[in-house]
Parts: sequence; C-alpha cells; structure tokens
Amino acid sequence: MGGEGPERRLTRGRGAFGSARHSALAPGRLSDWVVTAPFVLTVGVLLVGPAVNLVLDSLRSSSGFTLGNWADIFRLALTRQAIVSSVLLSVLVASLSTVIGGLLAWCISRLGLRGRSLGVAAMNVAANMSATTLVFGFTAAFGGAGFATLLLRQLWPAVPTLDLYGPTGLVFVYLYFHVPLFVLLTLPAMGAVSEQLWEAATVCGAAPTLFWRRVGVPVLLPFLLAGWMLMFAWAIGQYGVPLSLLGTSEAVPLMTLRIGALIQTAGTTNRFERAACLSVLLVVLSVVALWLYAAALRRAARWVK
Amino acid sequence: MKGKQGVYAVCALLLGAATILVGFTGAESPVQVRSSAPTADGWDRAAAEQQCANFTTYGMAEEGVYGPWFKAMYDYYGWKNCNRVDNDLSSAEVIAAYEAEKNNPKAVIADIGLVFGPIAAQKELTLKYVPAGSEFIPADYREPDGGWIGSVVGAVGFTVNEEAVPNPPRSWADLLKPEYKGKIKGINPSSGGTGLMALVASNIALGGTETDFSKGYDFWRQLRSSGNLYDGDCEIPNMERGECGIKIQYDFFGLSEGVAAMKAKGIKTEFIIPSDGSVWAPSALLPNRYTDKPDLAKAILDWAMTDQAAIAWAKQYAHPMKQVFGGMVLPADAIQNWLPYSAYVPVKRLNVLPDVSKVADEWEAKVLSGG
Repeated sequence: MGGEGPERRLTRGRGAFGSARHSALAPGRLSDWVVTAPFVLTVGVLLVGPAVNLVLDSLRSSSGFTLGNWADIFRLALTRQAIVSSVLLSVLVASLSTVIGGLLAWCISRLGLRGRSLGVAAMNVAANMSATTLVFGFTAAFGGAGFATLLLRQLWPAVPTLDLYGPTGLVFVYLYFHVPLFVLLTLPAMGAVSEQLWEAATVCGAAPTLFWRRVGVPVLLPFLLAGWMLMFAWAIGQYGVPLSLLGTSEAVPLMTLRIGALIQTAGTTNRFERAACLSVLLVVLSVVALWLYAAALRRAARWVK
Repeated sequence: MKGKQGVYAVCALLLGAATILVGFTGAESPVQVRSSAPTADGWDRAAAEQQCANFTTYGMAEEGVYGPWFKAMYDYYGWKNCNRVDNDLSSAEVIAAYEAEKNNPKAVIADIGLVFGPIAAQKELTLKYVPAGSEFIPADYREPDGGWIGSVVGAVGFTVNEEAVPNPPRSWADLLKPEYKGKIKGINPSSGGTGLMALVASNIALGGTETDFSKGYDFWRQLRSSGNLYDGDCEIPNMERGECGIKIQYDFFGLSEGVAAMKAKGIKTEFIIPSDGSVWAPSALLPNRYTDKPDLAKAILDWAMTDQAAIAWAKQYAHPMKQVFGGMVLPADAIQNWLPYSAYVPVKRLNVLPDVSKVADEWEAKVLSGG
C-alpha cells in the first residue's frame, strides 16, 4: 500500500467514481480512517474488547493462566449436558424452521401484492415478540390453566396436553418466533425460482417433480442452508425466552441458562471462569454458523442479479 | 484493499486492548468518602430523609411484608416524602448485583437468606455499621464488626391453592404422590435462602442431619424425575389461576403475599407446615457497601432493631428476632392472625447453619446432573 503513488490512486478514484473530485476517498488516506472511526470504535468497545477479555477470563486461575476451566466444562456432567442439549435444540429448531418456514415463504411469495404484504406484516409481528410477552401468551393459552388447554379439555377430557415447561414447550415457543424470521429472510430469495425458469424447464419437457429436483431445489438450497445457519445461531444464543419460561430451575439444561446460573448463584471454585468458557464456546459456535451463512449466501448469489 | 483490512483489524485490536485496560483500572477505583456531618448514631438525619425521596431495595417486594414495614418506618422517623422501588431478587442475585454495580450502585439495602451473609462479607460488599440497640442478635446471626445482620425467622412450608390442589400435601413425603403431577414449584438452593432452607428442611424431615444433606438430595432427585415439579413462573398471579399449585416458601411470605392476598379474592388457600419436619430459616438485612445513600441504609438498620419494626414484621406474620432472641413480648393485635402455636411444633431450630457454596456445588453435582 505504501508503494502506491498519487497517480495510481487518482486513476483508481476516477475509475470507481468517474470524477477526480472523489480521489480523496481513495484507499490509504487519513480521511478514510476518520469516517470509519465511529464504527471501529463501536466494534472495538462493544465487540472485540469484551471478546478478548472473555477469552482471557476463560484461561484465568488464581495462580496465573490455566486450561483447567476448559477441562472442567467438558468434565462436569452439568455443563456437558448443557452444551449437548443447546446444540441439539438449536439443530432441531433450525431444521423445523427451515422446513416450515421454507414452505410458508414459498406460499407467501406466490400470493398477490396485498396478500404478500399482509403475510409479511404478520410475520414481522410474530418475529419481534419480546421474550416475556411471548412466554406470557403461551402460558395464558397453553399452560396447565391456559384457556386453550381448558377449552380442549372441555371438548375432549383425555386430550394430551402440551408440556409447556419442558423441551417440547421450548421447541414450540422457539418456533413461534424463528419460523417468521426465516420467512422474512428467505422471502426475497423465492423470486429466484422465476416463471421464466419454470417455462424453460417445461418447454424442455420437465414434469413438476423433475423441475423441483433438478432446478427448483438446487436454486433454493443455498438460501435455505443460509437460513438454517442463521436460525441455528439465533436459537443457540437465546436466554430471555428460556429464562422466562423455565426460570432458574434448569429443567432443560442450556448453555445460556448455565452461564446465568454460574454467575448468579453461590458455589465454590472457578464459576465465573467456567461461565467465561461457555460464553467463548457460544461465541465460536455463532461465528462459525454466521461464517457458513455468509458462505452459503455467496453461493446463492449466483442466481440473483 | 487487503492491506487496508489489516490496518482496520490492528486498529480494532488496539482499541479492544485499551478497553480492557480501562475496564481493569475502572474496577479498582476507591470508594468515595463523603463529608456529611454524622450524628451520634453515625448518620445524618436530614441527609437520610433526603435520600429517602427516591431509593431502591432488592428482595423486599412491596406486596406482603415490606410495603407495610417501610411505611411504618417512614412514620417512625416522621418522613413524608419517601419513594421506594424494589427489584425482587434472590440472595445470590443480590450479591451478584451488588458486585456488578460497585461503580454505579443502585440498591441501598436488601433482604437475603442469612446464610448468604458470609458470602457477601467475604466479597466485601457489606456496609460496615453496627445498628443501635442490636445487642439481642446472637453472634452467629450477624457480621462481627457490622455489616449483614439478622432480621426475622420464618418456618419453611407449602402455600397451596386448594382450588387447583383440593387434597393438599401435609408432609414432604406427600409431595411424591402422583396426584401432584406438574403442581409443585421447584426450588433452587444455589440461588436463594428459601430454596436452600427448603432443601435443609426436607433433609431433616426425612432423617438427615444438619451437615449431611444426602437424604435431601435423594428426595429432590426423586421429585425432579417424578414429573411432579412445575418449572414455570409461580408468582402470585400464576398461583391465583392455579397454573402453579404448590409453592414452597417461608411462612411469612406464604401467609402475607400468598394466603392473605388470595383469600381476599375469594380463592381457597392454605399455608401448611409439613408434619414430618421443618426448620426455622433466618433472614438478614444486607446494607450495600457501595451505596450512595449510606445515611438511609444506617437509618433503616437502626429502625430494624426497634420494637416498632418488630411489630411491623409480626403483623406480616414474620417472627422477629427481637422476639425470638430478645425476649420481646409482642402485643396481641400484632400476632392475632398467626398460625396457632401447635402448627409450629414440627419446626426445629438449626444449631449449624449450612455452607451455601458447598451446598450449591453438591446440588449441581448430585441433583441437577441427575446422578
């Protein structure tokens, strides 16, 4: 970068913007740094700093640095269970969201303009429900004394009721706000399977099943996979919803609940450090999921211009 | 362009490092020294009254015990303009909050399970003050040189919504009956005094000792796998609706927040002390070392040791330590709604208070881990 002369920069500036006036925006100038300062500062203070601090905390012991905290979270049954069930729950929720949300997004994308905006509005409301409101709603409807439960029991006394305060309930509550988000994210992509593609395939003699197998699904797959990754990252980081639903009883072991419990309960050794280890693990899982999300989207971008 | 990204990354890393440094130095900032003229009792009356205009407490919910108790205090001092906001935290949450809010203190004082007092003291979170007239509190129910101090004792029992649970449990052993499926709110001994004392009480009722809780762990592991536990929210609205049927808590919270409130709405409710055994659980006041309202904190502590404060507690069904240890005779109208003396026969006084941290570790290993 240091070897770039002013000539070169000027040319590049002109190439990008068609006018020499914009040459000040060419890379390497101080003015570049000034305009990005708020962003760099925010990311540094809110993201990079705490993340580095977290990694250091996870390696800390009373007598210097150690890997003991990391060994502990995999050795202790409670944290091991939390990691496993967090991952399993997120995989399940992401997969169900992808199947249900994918079909729903396809349906909504084929509606007329009014139907589509109505669908998008409804999805927006559901996706943005806050944790306590959502859990209150589920309790009022599907709890042991919920109106839907009571109504169903009137109609059919032996009705199997939803165990709201357990893994099943958690999946249902998660789906309520994961599916709409999935729909909102993948709705634009549904346009990639255009009428033109369909017509072209039909002209070549493809039946609907063949069209979907060879054209439709391959085109949509990267988008669906990207959505799956994002749903996974979103699900594994949930704290407010499981806390509102299950309190601190830890009926379902989850990484986020365990982090909260390790910080907010009594106990003897390296609790804060173990919480830091779980947090770092959570960050790593989310970063990997988001990186795969970006990779999938790059692949998907071939189909949309 | 590659080079530019590299520079950004370096810049961000430097900023991150700076952030951490700032964080470290910030945590070390000393406690501020205030220059308010102290009275003979170590606090400034005018300052305390001013601080009362807008203050925060933890674990002292307005409903039930502490609403009327603080009102009695305002009358006692003749303060007209007092406004309190409470955040109903468990003992361990209070300690975590005090620690996290060192540089920006919110709460003046908190009500905690007494057994959590030593943890707060060890973390140096207690305001050092020995309230006037506190001689009646025994040595193991207070921090030696001022700090956390005992307030009341309560008996562990069950608050039951008898419309949701028509045949209420009368003992710990009863809780295992299949008819209570999904009805009993679970406990968390690592987080709060109530959960811890519920574990201790069940352990003693089932033949355990004051230092070995294995009977209690076995019982709760069994209860967790029985399907009888309810893991949702069990605050009063959910109890009223019968969403949560049985809540294990101290008698004074159960009787004031639970039974009295629900009976007023015509809901059949009862507080039951288990016949196979229970314990007297001590509570304590925890003044915040870092509070910016130290005069008010001291005023509250002084008030808590008075006869009037004891009566205010008794009216909300709590057994004040001034009566239990100080031999104070409570007036008849303060205790007219108490459960009969006979109900308290199974309740034992502990000679050894449990070690919270040890129990928290054991609870995680022996009950939560399922083995």
